[in-house]
Amino acid sequence: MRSLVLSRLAQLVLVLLAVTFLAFSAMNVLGDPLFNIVGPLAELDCDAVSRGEIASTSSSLDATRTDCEIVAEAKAEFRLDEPLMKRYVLWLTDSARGDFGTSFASEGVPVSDILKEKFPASIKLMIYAEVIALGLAIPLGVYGAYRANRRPDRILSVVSFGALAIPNFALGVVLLYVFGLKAGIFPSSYDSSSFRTELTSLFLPALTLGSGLAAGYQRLLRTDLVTTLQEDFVHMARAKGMTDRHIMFRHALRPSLFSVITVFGIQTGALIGGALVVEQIYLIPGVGRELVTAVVRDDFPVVLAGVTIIATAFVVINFAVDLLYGWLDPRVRAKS
Amino acid sequence: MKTLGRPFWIAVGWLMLLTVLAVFASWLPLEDPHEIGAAEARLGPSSSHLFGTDALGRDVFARTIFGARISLLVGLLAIAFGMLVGGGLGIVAGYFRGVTDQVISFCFFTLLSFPALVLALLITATIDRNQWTVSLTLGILSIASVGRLSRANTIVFAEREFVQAARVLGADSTRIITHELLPNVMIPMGALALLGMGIAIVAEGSLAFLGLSVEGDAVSWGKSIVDGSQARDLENNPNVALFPIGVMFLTVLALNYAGDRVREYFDVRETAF
Amino acid sequence: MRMHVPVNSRLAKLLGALLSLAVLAISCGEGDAGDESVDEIAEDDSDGTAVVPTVTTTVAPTIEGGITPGGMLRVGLGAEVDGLNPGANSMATSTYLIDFTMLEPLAYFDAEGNWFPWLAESFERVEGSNSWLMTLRDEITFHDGSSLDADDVIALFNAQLKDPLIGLALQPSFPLPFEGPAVERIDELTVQFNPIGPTEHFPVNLTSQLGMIVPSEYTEATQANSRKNQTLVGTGPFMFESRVQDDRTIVVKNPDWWGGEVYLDGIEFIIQTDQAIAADRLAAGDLDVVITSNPDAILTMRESDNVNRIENLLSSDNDLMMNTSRPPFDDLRVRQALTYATDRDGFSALISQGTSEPADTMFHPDLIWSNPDVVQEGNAPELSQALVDSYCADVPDNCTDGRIDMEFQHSGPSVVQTRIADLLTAGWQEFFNITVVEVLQDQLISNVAIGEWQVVAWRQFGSIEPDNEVIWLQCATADKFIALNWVRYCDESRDALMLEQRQTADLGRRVEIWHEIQVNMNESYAYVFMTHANWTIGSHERVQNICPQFAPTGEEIFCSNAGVTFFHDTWIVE
Repeated sequence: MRSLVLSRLAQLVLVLLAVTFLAFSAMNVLGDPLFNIVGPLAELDCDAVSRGEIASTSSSLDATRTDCEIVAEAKAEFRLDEPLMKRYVLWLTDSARGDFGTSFASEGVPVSDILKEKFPASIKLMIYAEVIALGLAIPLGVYGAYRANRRPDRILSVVSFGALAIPNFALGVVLLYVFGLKAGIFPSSYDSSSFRTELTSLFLPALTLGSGLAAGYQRLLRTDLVTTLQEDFVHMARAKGMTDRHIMFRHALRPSLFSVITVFGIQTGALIGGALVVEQIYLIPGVGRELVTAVVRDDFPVVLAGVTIIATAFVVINFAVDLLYGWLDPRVRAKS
Repeated sequence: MKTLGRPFWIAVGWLMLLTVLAVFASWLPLEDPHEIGAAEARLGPSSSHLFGTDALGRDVFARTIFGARISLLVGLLAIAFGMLVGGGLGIVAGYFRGVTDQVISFCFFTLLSFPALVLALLITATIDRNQWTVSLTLGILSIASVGRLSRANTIVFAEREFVQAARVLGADSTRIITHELLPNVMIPMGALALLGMGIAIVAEGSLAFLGLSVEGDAVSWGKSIVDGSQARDLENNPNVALFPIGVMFLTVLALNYAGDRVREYFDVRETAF
Repeated sequence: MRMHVPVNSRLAKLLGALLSLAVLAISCGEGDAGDESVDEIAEDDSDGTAVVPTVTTTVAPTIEGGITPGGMLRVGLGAEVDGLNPGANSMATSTYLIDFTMLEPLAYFDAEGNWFPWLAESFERVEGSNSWLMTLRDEITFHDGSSLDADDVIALFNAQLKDPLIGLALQPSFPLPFEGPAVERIDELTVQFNPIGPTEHFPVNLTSQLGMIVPSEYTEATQANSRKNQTLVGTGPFMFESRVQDDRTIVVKNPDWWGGEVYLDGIEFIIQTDQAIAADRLAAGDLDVVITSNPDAILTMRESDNVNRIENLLSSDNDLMMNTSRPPFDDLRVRQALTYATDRDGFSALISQGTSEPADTMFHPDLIWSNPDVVQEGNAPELSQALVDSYCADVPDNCTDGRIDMEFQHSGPSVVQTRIADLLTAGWQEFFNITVVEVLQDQLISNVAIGEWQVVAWRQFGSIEPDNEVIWLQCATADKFIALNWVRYCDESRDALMLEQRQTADLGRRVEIWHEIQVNMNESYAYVFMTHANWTIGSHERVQNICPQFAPTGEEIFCSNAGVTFFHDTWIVE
């Protein structure tokens, strides 16, 4: 068990290194970091200026320094002249200490401050979505299994199949139209002024995100429960005269929840991707919107920090789910 | 005797119909999807404009059909690319095992560690976005999922007698892979391709909502839906967004259903999705 | 990574400076985040005689029963701002709205559009020089308890002057390298400004960002730590309480304001980037005030019975610009061909949706400055073909298949901007091979500033004081690395005219000159004027008295200065 944990841990670290390096080099090779620091000055050919081919343009921006000095300073501050590998290692050691550098776009602001400000809304949204998803999926999954292959189950399975085919953004737009704009039941935009307004204003976004998850959980739980109900211990319980309800909730549900936990890990990626889009539709000031803006304006420090944190969370959650699964499920525990 | 069932053929029929309409859109008696001011703006559905008109007076029906061109093309190309690269790497990894397998599997795992849309964001933001590059981006996203499935299947088949026999008879690796493994791995991959195409079509729409879909005046479903989703348009002229949403939903539903049926039909157990 | 005074010329700062130059925001139609502009207007209407533009109000009469103090006013804003510091951040409509609750200007415009001293007590020209002497009011205190004196003014002005990019706004009057002090302390309450050229209109500069006074301690603190730009200290009717960027900024009443009683307990500025939703929230009573130039939002407000509106139908212009320094638009024929092929009618009907009026020149026709004989051409594609043929015969390299190759840049991602691009290219494509390029708004401004563009849709002009427009039209920057004369069109005779109007107070002569300039601009074909923007202040019916507002010294304040307004005389009834 311990060696399994250790080797998974080593793999996890290796993957995170690969992920961050990939993101780091992509942003540096494909984008133009200098432009985002000094703006149009990045286009200035400073070599030509030093050779005297172009007149220095100190008049345009700063009385005390020439434009080329400004460019050189920016390069030094953001280490743009260093080789890629060295910059990556420097960035990595800084980030490990929680220092993600300063944003290119909002001058001098530490990236960690920006993300600290943006993460709460996103995390609230995702937790809310999971709560809604599980709140829908568990009862409906149990009900589907209880009525397996009869009419209610059939209807449920058609509905959840349909729900899986609705893109997040389409559902977001439809819900916004029906409940936000037409019926006016829920606010159509994020309002963080109090817990109550936050709860109501995040409901539609969370439902948008959660419905697809719910459909996935429901289908899985139902199938799993149907299988579990065929097992010997259930027959035994039934023979002992226990009620269906008792069997379902006390005996069958627990082992079936394990598979839900596994899927929970896998679904996190879809959840994060969905949150990006849903934040955009419902204009929620979360980390997703921040990331989209940062990507478009090549604000590398913000993008890198965002991607690193998201990927880390994703990998760690899956790691934890693996462990939890092994720890919770007696069958797996017995084997190891 | 297993059959695919009538709903399967309905789903396939819908996909065929849409494909035919998209391919022959230019020759069909449709309005020009780019023409502005030919009709009044923001009309509701009517016999002359089946899906109504949008904010610039363009025919929504025509835009939905022309949009199918890009959306279906992106879906098809993306999954084709994923199949080619991911499927190929998966077979190689599954057949040779050892270090090759470890390296390739590690690459797959790394790719999967990016939430898909975040990776798409990283790529699309740094390129010129036409239908080819958007397809390529979405194709890259599918590499790891496709690859893992093809690897798993290859491992199963590589143990089977006919492969072992071919090896004993002295066939080289290339021949075994192309003649023995590929045909067998292809079937489950076909089911995955249908599901993957649906995912790619949805992903194009998601990118459109982030402002990162195909650039310029090219029409896609995602772009049409975004255009109709401005609060006031959604309130007064929901047809502009809801019709393309409906068509996209039916298409993804058809792809998912067909994929599911094919998977059951060929009794494919594990998928990587 | 170390934190210190950062590299000076960050892109954000460039934009800040460019925006702060008083009158700019790209992107007509103003769909999404960040489309903002600031310019001046006043009320007074009559035909072609008004010095300042028309404001249409549809405000229900004040409810009887007197003023009821208390309550928080919830104001919806369409775009967030980088920071609140007038010495370091870009000032657009949103910034002015937030900042004017906490800060007060040295001078401002009265209801007739004339400037009056506010924190300053008086301005006077120094005989025999270009300098202006300003005396501050005595016994004004900041929210931090310190009192207003000459050092505060000087610290802010020097910070702005030294800031390489905000300093750009001051370049015309205080060009670098500046010889001698630009601003001098005479005594505790007296400051002398030393602009380089003669001007009759100097205090007008101090009605904007350049004259919004913060304590010198604040200026120093923000220079040491740019996070402090997210807070603000001033002398105004409200005090800074809290701020979460992209979400909300809260200010609370200043009980000791020298201007007297403030009725509201505070104001909550809420960022709502989809302004049509903001208008919905206003109608539903979820917001109290919404300020916007978005046609969708304006239409929604017009349809709501419980929303009062103050519409400023002039404001800035939505226009197209062509870069005259680069092929193919360095050729007059190409500029003419594009102008004729432009669907101005479609723009007016489909993009502005009738919320704003067509524009022929930079001035609204109701203004005395406007030349009624100048007509903006367009919607005449039949005239384009001959010009294109003639150009392509001369310069075949810039043409493909008999059409001229061109690039159109717009900001995005934005639904409205995409629509504008679709509409324009539909009209042009018969004569042009068009490459449409979508870039972030920041980048677009930057590209335009350095001349890396051919055609863009833009928004600018519309100042109450035409002298403020000179900076966009003069030759001084037309051939520089960064040009504020965006279209890079230089005409020495036009420069001479502009200089002449700056030095005279004779209204008749100034009007004559501006009429001539409009003819010149029309014939240069560098701009295609589309519509005059409509800035609307919508308020829920429970909100009383958006206008008139009065300055502490009793002058009636200019209402809806392109959407910018004050709230200290506003109250809410339940």
